Amino acid sequence: MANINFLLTEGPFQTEKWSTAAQIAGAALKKGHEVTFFCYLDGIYNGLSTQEFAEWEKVPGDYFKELVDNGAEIVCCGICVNARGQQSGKFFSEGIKVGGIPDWAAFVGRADRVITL
Amino acid sequence: MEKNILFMFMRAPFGSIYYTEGLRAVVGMMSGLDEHKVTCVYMGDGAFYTLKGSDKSESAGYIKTIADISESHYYVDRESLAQRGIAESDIDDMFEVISRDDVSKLISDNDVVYDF
Amino acid sequence: MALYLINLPFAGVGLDMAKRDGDAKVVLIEDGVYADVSGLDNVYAVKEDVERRGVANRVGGAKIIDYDELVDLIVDNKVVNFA
Repeated sequence: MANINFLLTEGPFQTEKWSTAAQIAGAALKKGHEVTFFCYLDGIYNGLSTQEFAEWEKVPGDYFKELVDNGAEIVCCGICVNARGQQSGKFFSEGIKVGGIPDWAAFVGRADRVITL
Repeated sequence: MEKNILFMFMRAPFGSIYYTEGLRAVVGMMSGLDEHKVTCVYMGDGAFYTLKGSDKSESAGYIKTIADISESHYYVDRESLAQRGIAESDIDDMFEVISRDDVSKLISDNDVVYDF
Repeated sequence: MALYLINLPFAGVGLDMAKRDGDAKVVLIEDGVYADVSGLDNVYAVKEDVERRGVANRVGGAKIIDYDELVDLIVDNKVVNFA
């Protein structure tokens, strides 16, 4: 089994990076691979549990919560979180952590593969 | 585990924050317990960052920290410069011009290849 | 073996780098499926991205893959990110 780290730098809704990342990561977890995420820059908005969009059955945040529930480890850049007014991630889904680039460096140290989206 | 990491800076400076947040990431990668080795190459519109007149004040702190941690290399792809009409005399001394085949070798020699 | 993950706007440089790598595999994702991949072998394109954009007949000899197959390619090859 492989360990795959994702660097996600774009937020939900605006581009489809979140969706591509969530789908590759979901497929990887189903195959039994280990998945870690470092959410950097606007990527941190994917961790919010407070997203609302009536036309969609599931919002991007739901997909990332599901990834965590299925064993993915997701860490968001704390400087990026606070810069964007997200107050240490107080509205993040349970299990999505706030950390820093050292966490990302450690993920990369453990990873067999690294994907940027 | 220590890895060799290539950061390819692809985006033009200033229109988005990637040009400087990428260097912040480089600092973090080099400072962690794994002490990853990082090489930077500027390609595509990233080549505009190498211009002598481009304001490096926001990234100067990171560049200094990187130099303090370890010997560092900042390469720029010759073809990307040529495509943008940038003469080698127009770029800052800190950058070393290399061929695209040299970039290809960097890609194969590094364990991890990031676009930024 | 290296897997070049290609999206716009970096497709120009990314595909050129893939051409210089004798062992390259190329995966087109998102708007990357609009890229011109003539002259390249071992090209793959993500099914969902191809179908939504209506470009199934424009991606040349690219093999259409789903996310399960993409994960297998990622696991089997070093990933070079141009995405």
